[in-house]
Amino acid sequence: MFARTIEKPLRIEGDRRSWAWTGRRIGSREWLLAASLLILLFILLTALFPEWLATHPPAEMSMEILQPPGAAHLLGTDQFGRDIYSLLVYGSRQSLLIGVGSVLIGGLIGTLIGLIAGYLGGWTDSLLMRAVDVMMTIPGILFAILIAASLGPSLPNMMLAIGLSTFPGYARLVRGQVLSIRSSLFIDAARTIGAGHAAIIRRHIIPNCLPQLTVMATIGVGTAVLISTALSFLGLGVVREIPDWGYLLSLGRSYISIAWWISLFPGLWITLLVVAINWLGDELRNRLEPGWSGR
Amino acid sequence: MHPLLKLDRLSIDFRTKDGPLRVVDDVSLEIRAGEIVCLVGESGSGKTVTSLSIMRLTDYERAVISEGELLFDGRNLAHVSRKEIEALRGKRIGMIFQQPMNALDPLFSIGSQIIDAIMAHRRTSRSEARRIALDLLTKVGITEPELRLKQYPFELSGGMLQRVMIAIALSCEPDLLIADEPTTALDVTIQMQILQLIRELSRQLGMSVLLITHDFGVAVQLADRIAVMYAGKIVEQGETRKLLTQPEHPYTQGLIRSVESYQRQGGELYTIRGTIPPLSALPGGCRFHPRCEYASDRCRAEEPPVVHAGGAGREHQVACWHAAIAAEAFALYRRARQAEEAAASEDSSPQAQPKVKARHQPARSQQAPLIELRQLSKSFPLRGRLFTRQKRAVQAVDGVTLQIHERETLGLVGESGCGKTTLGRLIMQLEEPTGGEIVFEARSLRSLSASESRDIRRKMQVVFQDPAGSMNPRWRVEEIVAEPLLVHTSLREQDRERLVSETLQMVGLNPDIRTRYPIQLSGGQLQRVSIARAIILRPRFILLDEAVSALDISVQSHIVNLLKSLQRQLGLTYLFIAHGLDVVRYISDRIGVMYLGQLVELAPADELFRRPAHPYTRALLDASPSLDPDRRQPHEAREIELPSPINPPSGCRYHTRCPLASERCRREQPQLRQIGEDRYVACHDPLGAEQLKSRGMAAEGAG
Repeated sequence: MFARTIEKPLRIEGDRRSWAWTGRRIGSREWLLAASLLILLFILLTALFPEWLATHPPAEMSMEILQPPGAAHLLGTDQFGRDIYSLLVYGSRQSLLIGVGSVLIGGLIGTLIGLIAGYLGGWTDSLLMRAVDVMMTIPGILFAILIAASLGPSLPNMMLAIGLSTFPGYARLVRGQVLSIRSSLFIDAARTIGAGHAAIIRRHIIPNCLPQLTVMATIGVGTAVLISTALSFLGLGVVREIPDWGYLLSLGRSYISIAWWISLFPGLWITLLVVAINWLGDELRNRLEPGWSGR
Repeated sequence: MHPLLKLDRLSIDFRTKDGPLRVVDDVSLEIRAGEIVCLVGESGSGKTVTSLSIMRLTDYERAVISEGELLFDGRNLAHVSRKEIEALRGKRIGMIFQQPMNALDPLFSIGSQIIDAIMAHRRTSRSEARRIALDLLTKVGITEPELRLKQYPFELSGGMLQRVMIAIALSCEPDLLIADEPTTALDVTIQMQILQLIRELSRQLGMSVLLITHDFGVAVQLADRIAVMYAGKIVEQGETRKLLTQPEHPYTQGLIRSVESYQRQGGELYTIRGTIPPLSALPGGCRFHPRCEYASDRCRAEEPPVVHAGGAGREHQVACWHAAIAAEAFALYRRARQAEEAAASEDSSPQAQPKVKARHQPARSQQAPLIELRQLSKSFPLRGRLFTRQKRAVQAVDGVTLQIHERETLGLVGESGCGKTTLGRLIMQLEEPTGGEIVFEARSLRSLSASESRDIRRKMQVVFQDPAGSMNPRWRVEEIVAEPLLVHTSLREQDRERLVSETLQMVGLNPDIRTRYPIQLSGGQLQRVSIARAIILRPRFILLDEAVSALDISVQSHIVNLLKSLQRQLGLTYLFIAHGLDVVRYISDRIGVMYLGQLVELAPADELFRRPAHPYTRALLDASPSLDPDRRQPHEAREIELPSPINPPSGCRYHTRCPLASERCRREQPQLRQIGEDRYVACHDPLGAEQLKSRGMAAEGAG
């Protein structure tokens, strides 16, 4: 217990909530944020209203096969004469669904395990975290392949596969957060007030974990899309009338020397989405964490 | 002869997103060779920035010296190249900081850090540097210097680390030592030793010292001259004694009166009204005018220049339009106070006993105590070293027995590590005792049902030292204050809101702040919010764990007054844990003194201060920095450390530091025993025993 003066030489007046003030220092940050939001908005729109944004019906085949990008076909056509741009637009919904769904599954499982381990501590903690450690030694994609192969390809299975392969990350993150929050003075204060465990977890611990979780989940969506693409590329994806992005990539592989656009544009499209999500995640981190950290 | 350091109309700006913000404004200050000058000011006064600017450390903090000169030994440092300034750092100007534990690198041994510092500036061999290091450690009063060289920062106590920092700062025999709150993080007994050491070294080496502090007492104990800063300006400076006895600026006077009013019992504390304005919204004219008793239209319109006061005193400078009137008013106050003191000392003579006792509640003994601790103990197991099965434990609280009566304030003092905070946590049931029991409202807290436990939680509340840490940073003030209501009541939302607003008003806050977040409030406001949260359920007992220790004096007085008036209004019982003795004396009815987990003395507050019975209590009282420059005592400047609670000394735990220790003290542990009415001490040979005994008998005879 040390006496210290609370030094506050610079009191910035006005609203100091994290959203309002942290980002103002550097302009380029905001450009990046605007760009990534724009990209994400566009992809979200393609997922919600593909029929508005596509130029051709996705499954429509035509005689114009392997056309390079041009006025008729924005990003060219594939070997069946389908419009690549429209295929990408129609593929968004499934990719985003898998991304968000798997993050929800992985995040929920991970958060629950992290909360229990961090809050209870002791044996429970050791046991749970060692199990999580074992999970972490298995490469995520390998695990997803295993599940996808054994459960068969379907949308929910895909989400489950990716979710199960990513939950250890969330568990570790949440446990670390809980450990540090649990030892803060305001938890002691809540105890002396008489708040029970459930109230402390619900009202103090979870809200203080949320910013970090939000950041991780955001970036997690990008990772999940990548994994799902990879699974599709390997032929373990959901087979539908409309090929998804990963499947498109693999289709283009055979024609790469004569029709580079079939693989390039889906690749770029995925990259753009993942990069935009990561930018957003970084920006969220910058905005949500510095103002509150150090407690 | 020109002064060693001269700040000439120095101004410093911080670069912020809304343009430059002036944090130090037009400051002029001189330090002559061998002189000790103290810069006193509250948080946000710009004192630390001023001190950092001398070595241009402000360059790393988004700050620029915008105007004025900074002359060191005749050279203007304000605009010299970085290379030139780096050549001065450490070599001609040394610096020590508030937190010695943060200023040393935990990865390197003490020795290598001192030796590196020496070799950075002097051309010596490593073995020669080592010899110098040993020399320096001896000079700063560290015992067993050979051993310390091999140790790492975490193995040393705060006091020792500060000595090491001083040794490093001295390694190149600087002409100027800048000490920024060097003792704020240390216990009073250690603080005195360090201040003494700084003064001695300054005399021995002819070294000038610039000491930055918020504590007027520390400044008085050390300084030849004192400069008082307020909101970025020096408002008054002068020779210590003159400044103390005849201050002319109303702010200086306010600070002195605030500190002095703690010594007067009863009545409200003197406070300076209002709070320090943020630097971004300074009032026009004289910056102090909104808080000043003498403020006139001129003060509101025009900024007062710094003038030499009283014509003759060239040393004394003040920036106030009404210095003359203020000085006269202060002289009157002084005279009144002296008369009061004279009357008080007559009162405390043995004949006038009843008057002193009038402060305690009558017939307390018939009442059951609100809280009773019976042989309460708590030990924390230490993790054994690898491969050893030997179990060790720290005995944080060791067999403490005491009672807290209804509506009383019991103060608890002791150095850090004495177990006073653990004791508080035990009472609040944040820790499980390892022995003994706690009785609240005649019910033991050992065996409670869930509903009884909830009921007791409702009646016991706590206010922590660090109000910001004790609040969820993501909650608004209204949510924070209403949390106990949510847990314990099922009020409707409007009722909750109404109660929150009422409670905020009770603690002197404008209910408008209920939508703010903790980060947006000042230290004083935060502490008021945590008091509001503590009283909203109308508890019977509140634990105040260093609740005012982190606050500036002008804020602290307001909070202490608030606590006292709330106690009267709501009939509260307080356990007040603190290390600032003046505050404890002022607020407490009785005071307990703890040492290494044990209660060594328990007595009514005035009694304890007038006639301490335990040598440790006496040592604590002596070490407390007083505002009387004549009370500068020739203290032991050598290190006397608190023994480790893992391995407490045999017999009386204090015998290692006690000047009066006898053979018996080393063998036999004294028990807490009664030595007079309401007085208990754990010492074989208490101070002033004869006197107490005779009076105790007289009291018995009278009763």
